[in-house]
Amino acid sequence: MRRLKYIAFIIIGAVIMILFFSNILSQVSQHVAKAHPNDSGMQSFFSIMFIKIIIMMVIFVIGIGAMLVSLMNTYQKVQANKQLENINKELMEKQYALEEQNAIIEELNSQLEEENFKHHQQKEILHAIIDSLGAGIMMTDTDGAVLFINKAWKDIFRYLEFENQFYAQDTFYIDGVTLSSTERIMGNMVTGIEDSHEILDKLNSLLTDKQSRYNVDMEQTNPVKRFLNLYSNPCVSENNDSFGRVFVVRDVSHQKEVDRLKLELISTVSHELRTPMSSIMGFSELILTRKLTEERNREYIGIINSEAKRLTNLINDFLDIQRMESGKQVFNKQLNSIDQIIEEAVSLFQSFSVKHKVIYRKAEERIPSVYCDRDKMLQVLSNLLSNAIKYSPDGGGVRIVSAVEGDRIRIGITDQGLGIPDDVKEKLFTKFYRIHNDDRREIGGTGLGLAICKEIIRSHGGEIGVESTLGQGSTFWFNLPYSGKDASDEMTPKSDSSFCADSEGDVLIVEDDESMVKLIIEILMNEGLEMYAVSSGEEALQLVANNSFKLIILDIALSGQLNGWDVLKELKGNQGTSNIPIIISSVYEYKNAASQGDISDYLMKPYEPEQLIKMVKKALNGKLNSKMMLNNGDGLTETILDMLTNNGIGVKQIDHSGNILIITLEGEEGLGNE
Amino acid sequence: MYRVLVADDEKALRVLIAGTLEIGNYEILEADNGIVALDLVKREKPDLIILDVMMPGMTGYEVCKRIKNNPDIAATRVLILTAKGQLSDREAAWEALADFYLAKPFSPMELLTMVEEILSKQVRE
Repeated sequence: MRRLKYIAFIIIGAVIMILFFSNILSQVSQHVAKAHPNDSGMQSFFSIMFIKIIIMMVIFVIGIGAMLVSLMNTYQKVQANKQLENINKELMEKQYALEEQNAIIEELNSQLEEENFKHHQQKEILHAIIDSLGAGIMMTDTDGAVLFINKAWKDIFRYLEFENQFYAQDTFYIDGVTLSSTERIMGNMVTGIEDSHEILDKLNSLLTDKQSRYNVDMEQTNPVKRFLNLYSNPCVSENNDSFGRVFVVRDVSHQKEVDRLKLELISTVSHELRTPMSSIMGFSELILTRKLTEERNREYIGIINSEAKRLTNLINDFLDIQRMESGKQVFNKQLNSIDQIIEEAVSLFQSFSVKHKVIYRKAEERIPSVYCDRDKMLQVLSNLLSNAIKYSPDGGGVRIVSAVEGDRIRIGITDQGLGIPDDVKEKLFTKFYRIHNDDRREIGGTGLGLAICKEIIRSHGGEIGVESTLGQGSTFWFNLPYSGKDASDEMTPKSDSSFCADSEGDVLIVEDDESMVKLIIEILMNEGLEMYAVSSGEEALQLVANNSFKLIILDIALSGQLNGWDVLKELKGNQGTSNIPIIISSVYEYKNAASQGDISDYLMKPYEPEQLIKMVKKALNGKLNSKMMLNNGDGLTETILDMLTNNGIGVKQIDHSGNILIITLEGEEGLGNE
Repeated sequence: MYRVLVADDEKALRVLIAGTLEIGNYEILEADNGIVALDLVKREKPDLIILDVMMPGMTGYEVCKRIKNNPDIAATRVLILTAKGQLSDREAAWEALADFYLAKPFSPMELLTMVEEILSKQVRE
């Protein structure tokens, strides 16, 4: 249509132009014809010109038209192209937007998956938490149907056989539970419980109760004897939406037992205190209010005195055992000859009673020493001996036998007394337990002696027990782990594969403090070493010159003219002795630090026995002890470092451990004895 | 002369009670455990038994119950004397049908007054 418009426009234009030109030409030709009427040539020229021009015009117009049409076409094409491009662009934009949306959707999808995973994980964690709780948990919905029960709930009520009763999809959630089966669970739950009807009614009423809280202690006698605590709270969200109820059940038998024992102990203690108190108060009142004979007075005062003593003993024993049971008793454990302790105890009791004869017999010639608290061991032995005498009222022999059994020493105290009934042997070592029967009526005591013995022996890593036949006497025995050596002063060498000790002296202890010497000997006793001890540097040098030692443990402060550093310098300077490893055992003195010398190891007093043993073993195996331990005093670090570097010993590392400075030395250039 | 049985496993306590009652006109019998005490009540028919609770053989409560449930000796007055001073112990004494209760540690004068009152009442009955 548009094109037709253009064409029409062109044709009209062309026609107007032709008419215009033909008009001009006809006027010109008329004018010429008027001017030159006779000139036919001129007229024909103009006619021809007129026609030519018309033709030219026509051609021109057609040309213009064609041009215009083609121009128009081109224009239209360009327009169309432009439109296409625009459409394309829009399309691409749309596609882009779509892709963007896709990406967002994908992102959302993965977020959702992640959320899902997290949710699942959280659910699993919640399950795990609820399942790992010690208390049994059951949740019911708002209608009162059971939603889930945890593992502890099943364990506590295992006789209910939950798995067989319900179609449990997993072990947590319960499917197929109706209200009536919930009631069945409840019903079974309170089986064998006192006042079960009352509790059951309460539980059933709770199922649809959205507010009440409930807490009840239940004593169950069947199928198991125990105490259960059950409480139930409504399960409500922050927005006050009710999810039902949660029931929590715990086995509180242990707490009940602890409470019972506590009450029993208080009752026993008060009884034990009131009994001697009655005598003390009563007799003193009689003395104060009555005119008594001198003889009576003395008798009563005697009773008051002995009852007061009994009361004191009771309090002391009671405090002792409390301290031991709570682990607060400090034992002063040292290497002791158990042999000597037994002898001492026996001598105490030998003149104790004329009716009894106390005899000590050793099964072995040499009874090894024991790392123990001497006073406490004496207490155990005295206690057992006095029991043996007290509980054989008709007299007889009391025999103590010590023997080595495996890695323990067993000490047995046998009497020919009343003996102990089988059923009470176990209770014998519990607090305040006393066998009551006619024969024992006059036998006093706090009822704590054996309990204390048991605690002392237990603290020494031993066991205590009794063998007895009623009417024929008893043997109370205990055993203790023993050390490999005697605690006597003379040290006999004992072969030990890790040390290769020979008949020469193994270890020389240069130490002026006697108790320190004793301690070192005790610590190293089990290692099968022959040890010599001297208190001065002079003696030490003399001994080293004439004997060969595998190791020297050297204190710095000594009794003679020479100090430890001097001794060290002397030994290291001498060809024959420079190879002997030396462990410095000292409280360290700053002013001596500058002394020269090579040391194998350094021990800061006070040190742990294990530390010394380790160092000695290392030194004797010929390897360098690469670590030194020092007290981290002011300026000490620098001094020690100077001292070491002056002696050509490289320092690899310095660590602090509390107040202790641990210096790691470089290299293996040890001070071995080989 | 009234006969009073003192049943306590602690010798000092028996001496104390005997000493307390010596100024009155009483004949004192002694038992150091529950079984002996019950036997003595049956045989000697004392007017009053001063009975400790924590005794070997048989507790004081048990002895008391058996006395009170035996028509032959149910008239025996029972004074429970115990070192267990809790309220529940007092209740246990009443449950065992004891007539009187005294907690350790006690005043001898109080015991003497109590015994005198118990026995004089018995006379009036």
